Amino acid sequence: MRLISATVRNYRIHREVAAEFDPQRTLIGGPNECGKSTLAEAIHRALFFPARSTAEPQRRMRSNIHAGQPEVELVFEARGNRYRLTKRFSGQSGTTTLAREGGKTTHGSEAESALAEILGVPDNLGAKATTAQWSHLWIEQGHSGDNPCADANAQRDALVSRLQNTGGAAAMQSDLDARVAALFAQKNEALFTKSGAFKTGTIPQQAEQAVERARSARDAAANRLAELHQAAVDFESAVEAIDQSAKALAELQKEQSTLDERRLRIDQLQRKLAEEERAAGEARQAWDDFSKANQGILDLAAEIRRTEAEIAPDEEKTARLVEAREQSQQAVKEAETALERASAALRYAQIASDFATACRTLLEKTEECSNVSSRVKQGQAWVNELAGLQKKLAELPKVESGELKDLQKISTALTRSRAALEAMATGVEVLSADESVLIGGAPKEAGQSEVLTDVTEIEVGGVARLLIRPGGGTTLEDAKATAADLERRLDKRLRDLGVKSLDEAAEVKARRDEVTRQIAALEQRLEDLGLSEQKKRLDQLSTACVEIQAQIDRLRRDNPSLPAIPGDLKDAVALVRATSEQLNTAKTEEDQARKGRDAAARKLDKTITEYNAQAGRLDKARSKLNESRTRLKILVETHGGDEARKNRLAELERIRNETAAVVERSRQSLEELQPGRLEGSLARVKRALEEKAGAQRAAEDKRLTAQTVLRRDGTQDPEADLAQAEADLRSAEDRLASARQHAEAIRLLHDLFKEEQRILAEHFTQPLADKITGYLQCVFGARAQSHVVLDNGEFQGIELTRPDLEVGSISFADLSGGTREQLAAATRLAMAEVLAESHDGCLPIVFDDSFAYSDPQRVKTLQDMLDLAARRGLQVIILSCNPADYAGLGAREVILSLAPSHGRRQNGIATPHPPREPDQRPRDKSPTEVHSDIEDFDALEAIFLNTLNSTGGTLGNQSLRLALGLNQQTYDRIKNRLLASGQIVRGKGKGGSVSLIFAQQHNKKSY
Amino acid sequence: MSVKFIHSADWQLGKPFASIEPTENRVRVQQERFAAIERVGAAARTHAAEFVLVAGDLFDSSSTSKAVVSQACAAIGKLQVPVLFIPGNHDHGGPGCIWEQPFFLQEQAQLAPNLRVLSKPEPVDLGSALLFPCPLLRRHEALDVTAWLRSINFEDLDRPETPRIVLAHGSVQDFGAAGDDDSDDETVNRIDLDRLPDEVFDYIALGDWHGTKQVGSRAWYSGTPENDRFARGEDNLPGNILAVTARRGQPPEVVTLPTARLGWHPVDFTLHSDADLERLDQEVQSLLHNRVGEDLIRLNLDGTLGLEAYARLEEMIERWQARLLRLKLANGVTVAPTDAEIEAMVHRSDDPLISRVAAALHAQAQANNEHSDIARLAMRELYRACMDS
Repeated sequence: MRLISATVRNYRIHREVAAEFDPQRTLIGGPNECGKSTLAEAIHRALFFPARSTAEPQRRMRSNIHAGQPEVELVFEARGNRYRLTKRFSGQSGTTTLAREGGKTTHGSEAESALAEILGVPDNLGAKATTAQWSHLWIEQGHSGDNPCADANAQRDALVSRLQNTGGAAAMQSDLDARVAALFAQKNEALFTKSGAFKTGTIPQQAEQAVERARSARDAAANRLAELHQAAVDFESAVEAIDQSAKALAELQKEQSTLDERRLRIDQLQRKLAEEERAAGEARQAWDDFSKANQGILDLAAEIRRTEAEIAPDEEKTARLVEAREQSQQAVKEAETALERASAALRYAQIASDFATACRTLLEKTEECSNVSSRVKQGQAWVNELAGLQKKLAELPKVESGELKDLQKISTALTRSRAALEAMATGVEVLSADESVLIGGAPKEAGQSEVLTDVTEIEVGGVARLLIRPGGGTTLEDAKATAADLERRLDKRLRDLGVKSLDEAAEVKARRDEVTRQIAALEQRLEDLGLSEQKKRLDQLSTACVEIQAQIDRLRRDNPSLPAIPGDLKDAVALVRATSEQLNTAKTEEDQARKGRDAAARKLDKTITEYNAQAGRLDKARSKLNESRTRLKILVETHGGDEARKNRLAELERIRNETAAVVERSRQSLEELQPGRLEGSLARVKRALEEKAGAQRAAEDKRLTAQTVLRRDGTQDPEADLAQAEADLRSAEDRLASARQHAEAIRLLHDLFKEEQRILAEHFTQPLADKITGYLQCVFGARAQSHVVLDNGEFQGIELTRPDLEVGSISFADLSGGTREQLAAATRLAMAEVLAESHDGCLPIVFDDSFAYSDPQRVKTLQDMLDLAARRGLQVIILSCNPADYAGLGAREVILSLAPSHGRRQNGIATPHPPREPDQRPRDKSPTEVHSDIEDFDALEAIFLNTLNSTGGTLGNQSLRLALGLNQQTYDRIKNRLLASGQIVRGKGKGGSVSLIFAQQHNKKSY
Repeated sequence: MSVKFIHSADWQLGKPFASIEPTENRVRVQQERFAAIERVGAAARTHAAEFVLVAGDLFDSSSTSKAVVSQACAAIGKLQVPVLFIPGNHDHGGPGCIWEQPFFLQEQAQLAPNLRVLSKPEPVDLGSALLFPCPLLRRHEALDVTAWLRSINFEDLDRPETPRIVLAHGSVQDFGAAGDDDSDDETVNRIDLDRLPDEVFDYIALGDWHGTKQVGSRAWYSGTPENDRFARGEDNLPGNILAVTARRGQPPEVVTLPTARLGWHPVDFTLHSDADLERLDQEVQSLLHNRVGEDLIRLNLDGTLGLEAYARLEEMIERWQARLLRLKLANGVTVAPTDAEIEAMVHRSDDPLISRVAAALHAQAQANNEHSDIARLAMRELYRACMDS
């Protein structure tokens, strides 16, 4: 089947448009909204949509800008004939005419039926079904990336039929195969869920549940029976336990009463023993006490005897010591007397010696005193003489040698100065004077003269005044001053010195020097004498003499026996020597006496100390002894004498022994009763009794509980129930095993059929896959492979394998948008190729902007694929708004455009070339220009609004005008009409813009 | 002085027959045990028996339900002679036993005053006979329940002419119910007849072994009056009661009376061909004699059958199942398609898919591994599907 030409009238946007198709490659180009897709749709509707249908597709065909009913005229070749098909889609009045060239022309439903048969599609399809016809060949805009499996399945029967014819080697399943496979598939489907479990409600699933129920029932029945059996066991064991407990209790109670009796006896014995022990204790204590007292008495008497024996030597020793002490005291007394005598002698000897020494010293001091006194007198005389000299010197002017020289010098200078002054002085003499003459202010009488040595004014009567300058000026003055000065100085010096002249000064000076020499000599003598020391010595000696004298006087007064004071020093020295010897002797004697006295005293001390110690010891012993004797006396008074005590002690001992024997007997009796173990035994028996009583109660409870369980109401027989439940479980298990086996068999069959079908399908789809691969290799290179998945007779998927990318095979859904388009196109081309074999080897295939996601480079390689399809006999029709992209295809181009309106209607179609026969088709590939004819302003308004809508509702005036292909005048008129009717509003922008008011009221697509 | 009585045992009333399906068949088998009581009663009348002795296991369970008790008492009450029995291992006299349950005592009093439980090991004087019951007081008794008989001072009884009859339940020597009952331990419930004094007792009525059997000059197992299982062994003869005439100091006269109604048939068969199928069918037919609803068959099958033959076997089984109270089938038949069947499945030039699947299944079945059974079953399904289509 091949399209030759198409003419479309009053079809939505198209007033009338016609196109001629190349037998192999046609490219329909033109801007958006120029009606390319509408043209493709119109051809499709003509082929498949019933002309008299009033269904939705028919309403959508109608133009709201062109008057008249939609009409399509097709010329095509099919089944070896050329047909002209005309359809007018006017609802119930619609017409169909199918004219076979050189043959019959049919109309209406007959024509529709004939057409369906020619096209190999079912007749009388519903409106919706017709729009889906040949959807694998009419690839609508926006659907090029859809999975082609849907199309393949829509054409499955035809495809399968063709592939079966093509495959040859691959044996397809028979009807029986299909039925049996379907049967097991259906059974498998009915039995199993997708995860492989049994579906709810299936026999095996019910059997599983039945087994579960039966198992639960069996377990419950077993439990009930077990409870019963357990109750019987419990009952028996409880009865046995009760018996045993009762026996044990009886035994225990017997033992308890025996123990109670024993306890009574023990208590009695213990009380008796306590009493006996108390008595024995008392007896023992009495004996102990008396025995101790007796021993104490014996011990004390012994001690007294021992002490008495010990004291005897001490008494003797003390007596001896008393005697020795008295002797020593006498010796000391005698030594003291001797010492006193010696001491008195010594004192007197000392006094005599002192006396002699004082006498001698007095005599020596007295002599020295006389010597010193004479030296002091001499010295005093020298002092007086010196005072006279010093007075004499003080009375002389104090002219020293330096002053004398200065005087001599000044005097000399004065002499010289007077001489010089004399030489310079001026003499004035008043000779006469009428008038008063004043010289130097001093009135001068005539004649008076005056030596002037100074500048002196002379006034004469007030008439004349003269100034006299002696010596011509100052020289005289200076000389005068010098002389005066010297004179003054000399006078002053002389005055100061108290002399009258220089000569006198010299004389004084000589006298002064003589006196000074005398003073110095005298002072030297005084110094040599040491007058002050001599005076001091004299004082000392005088004082010493007085003192010594006083001492002597005192000694003599105190010791009248002293000898007379010696007359001279020599006697004194002799006396001194004699007394000194006497003193030494007395000293020696006194020393001897002192030593004797000290030795006697020491001996006495020693004797006293010894005596004291001894006496102390003796006193202590005596005191103790007395104490002991007193105690002994008291004790004996208390406890009696020796015999009495002995008898008493024997009596007490007897009592003690008797009571102890009684205690021992009672204790042995008690020990035989083992009181230590009694409490333990009692506690044990009590515990055992409680234990056994508890056990008996528990056993009775247990028996009662068991009895309750064992007492049945007879509504059921647990044994029979268990037997039934077990049988039910076995039966259910058998049924489940059988059902499972059967199900497994079904699954095995289904799996095997599926696997075998897959293997067959692979053989079967290989030719289709090969064709797809052929197309794909044009795009993806020589190694690209396709794989068609046919499962259960359905096309399940197309996979692309590109070893160059090393990603394995990729299913359709996982491919990119562009690759999906290309794989879908390849698949559709391959399908068309397969199907074309039933249509004289050719079918048209329309790609409406089908490679929107493909990049320009890919679009170029795609053209190889499209060209291959054309070469393989398909009629490839490409619709594109970018026809330049397909320049490489070498297709016949038909360009649709929006025809500019020149205010003149262009009816009919503008085709540069009249329709030709296919064999006469032009070789040149210049595009065929087809202009849509815009009929009136209403239509233009619609286009205006559509275009505006399709660009988003707002567009600049200039852009919109160019898009519409209108001149300025027409554009403005339409725009103004729309503005006036309020459908658009003015917008902003350079040159202005327009916007839709209700963009949402307009569909984006024109149909 | 002689006495006539019926010796029976192992009535096992209330036995659930749990494996019998459907329920109505099960009930039918259960009810036949009660019906057998009537036949015992008829025999007692016919043989002028003074009483009926049941040597244990009157009930199947020691926890029998009230309904069974009521029905049993009603049936026993209709007998015109005293019915005396001892508890056996199934209805032993231990704690919680059926004989002590208030509802039993009530039903016994109202419906079966002629029923007497001998639950104590002590002599019972019936006037015409002295009974020496040896009741089981627990399911598993390790001691010999007849031991007390050895120490009886008969002079004290002062009945030198009265026949002495022992009632006991258990196995004797190396023979007894251990081989017959389902689960009991061989070491329990043993009765040592050899240790009983010679000729002191005139009849020993034993229970527990379900077949009728004499085990001593005076000792008999009566067996169960109505069979309750597929018999094991050739000499197992259940379904009888014994009419006994006992005299003091003399051997008893014992007459075996059949009382069973239901047929329990064990059948073992090996199948290899259609002819075998035919023979099996005939054998089953000969067992049933066109009876319906009165027989039970335990069918143990083995051998190998083709797909078609196996399908026929399945049809036969379905037919038998309709007629039988129970078909206990142990089907060990291996399904192996015949060469022709294999050929027909594997080489189907028109149906390539089926042939390939059949070949795969055949290979798996031949492999004789854990999947082979499934593969054989799948082959049968596939075969049937092909035939049906």
